[in-house]
Amino acid sequence: MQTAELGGFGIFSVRKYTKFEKARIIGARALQISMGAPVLVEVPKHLKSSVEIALYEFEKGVCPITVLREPPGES
Amino acid sequence: MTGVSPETIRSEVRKLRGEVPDSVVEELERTLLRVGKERAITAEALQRVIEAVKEAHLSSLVEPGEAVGTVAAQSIGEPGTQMTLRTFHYAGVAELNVTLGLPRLIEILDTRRTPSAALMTVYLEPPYSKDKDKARAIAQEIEMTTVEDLISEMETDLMNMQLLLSLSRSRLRQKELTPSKVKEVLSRELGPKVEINVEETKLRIKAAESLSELRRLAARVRKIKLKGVKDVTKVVVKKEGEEWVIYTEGSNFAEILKMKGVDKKRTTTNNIREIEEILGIEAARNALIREMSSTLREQGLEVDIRHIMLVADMMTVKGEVRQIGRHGVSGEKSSVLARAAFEITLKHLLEASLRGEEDRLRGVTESIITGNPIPLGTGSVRLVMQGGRSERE
Repeated sequence: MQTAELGGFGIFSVRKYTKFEKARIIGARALQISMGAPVLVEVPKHLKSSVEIALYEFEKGVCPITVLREPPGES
Repeated sequence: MTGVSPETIRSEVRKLRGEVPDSVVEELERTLLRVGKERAITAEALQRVIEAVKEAHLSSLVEPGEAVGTVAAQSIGEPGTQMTLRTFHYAGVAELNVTLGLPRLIEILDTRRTPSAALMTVYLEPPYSKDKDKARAIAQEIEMTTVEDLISEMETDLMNMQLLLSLSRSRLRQKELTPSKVKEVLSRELGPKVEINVEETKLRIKAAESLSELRRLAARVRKIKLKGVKDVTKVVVKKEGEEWVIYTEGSNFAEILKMKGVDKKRTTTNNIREIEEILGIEAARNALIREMSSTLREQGLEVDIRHIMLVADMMTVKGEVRQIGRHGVSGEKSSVLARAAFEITLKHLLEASLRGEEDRLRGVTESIITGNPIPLGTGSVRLVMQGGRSERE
């Protein structure tokens, strides 16, 4: 799991991606893959759909998409 | 196999402080110590348990982006449909008038200045709380007695333009008052121009010049407070566990706290505005939480306290208690569109345009109106592509 650029807002930091972030990242990556983007890992044969490949990439920690987090504050 | 000592358990568990709520730490410590007596806990097992607790706590936290407000609204709203719509009178302990169920919940959320049934629970300090008679004496002092409570008869003597009050002897004795004391209070209240004569238990008041003035005087005299605390109309002394507690109908928190023998730490009122004024906003927040959850619990509805805390937080963040509704939380939203969607659409839009207000379109309502994804859950995530190969490694 990617942990690199996450956190950093004191008590508000969360070490892993939230379920919402994960959904968006995989969704966006799956769209890229379905439109022909090069896949960044060796993908096992049994994975068929772009979503499965994106999920596999995400779990391997090579997904090139991350999130930008803003410190909590005024909305 | 040898287990770890109780001291090790204690010190290891206490390292969790700050990461996990104190209540969880305490419970874990208690359970581990108990289990440790029955069978040995190895150092490895202890660590595994502590890790598991940490993990369980982290995974139970609400994730950023979760629509907590909506969930809170639903969690209070659904049980709310099962509450009584009726206001009960003289229900519950000691025949005091209490508002229950939905009417009370609405009252709390509206933060009315005077709740329809104000109540105080007055706790007493040791010598008074242990003794029934001493508690009674304080209750006597608290209960408001007006002229109306004492008179058996009140006549308006039209011939001499006088008021004739007949005081009831038994009630005078009960309230520990004498006709001369009543006279004293009355002349202080009515001013030196009014002449009052005492004839045994009868009081003759000379003052009025015209008939209408006499009537006004009669009405005024009835309401004059002779003793007690203003607004406290009924007092009940009840034994609760080991101590005597006074319940009052009508609330005057400031005056009660000044009284001798009253436990200032525990005495409370159900009038949240009063608590806000006297004890401050944090106390008001606690009172809101306590009142809301007890109202729900009385109806047999269990709502998680975190939902209620969120509501109380929204009502108190601005430093004063705001109602949920037009003059509070909903009516003071920073977004024009959100306010317009709530009520009186045209007025809000017109006034905003006159003032040249700006709308950042960052709320849920505004986003829906303008056809954008809402900034909650997956909609609150901002994606970025990570750069070249070197950064990925």
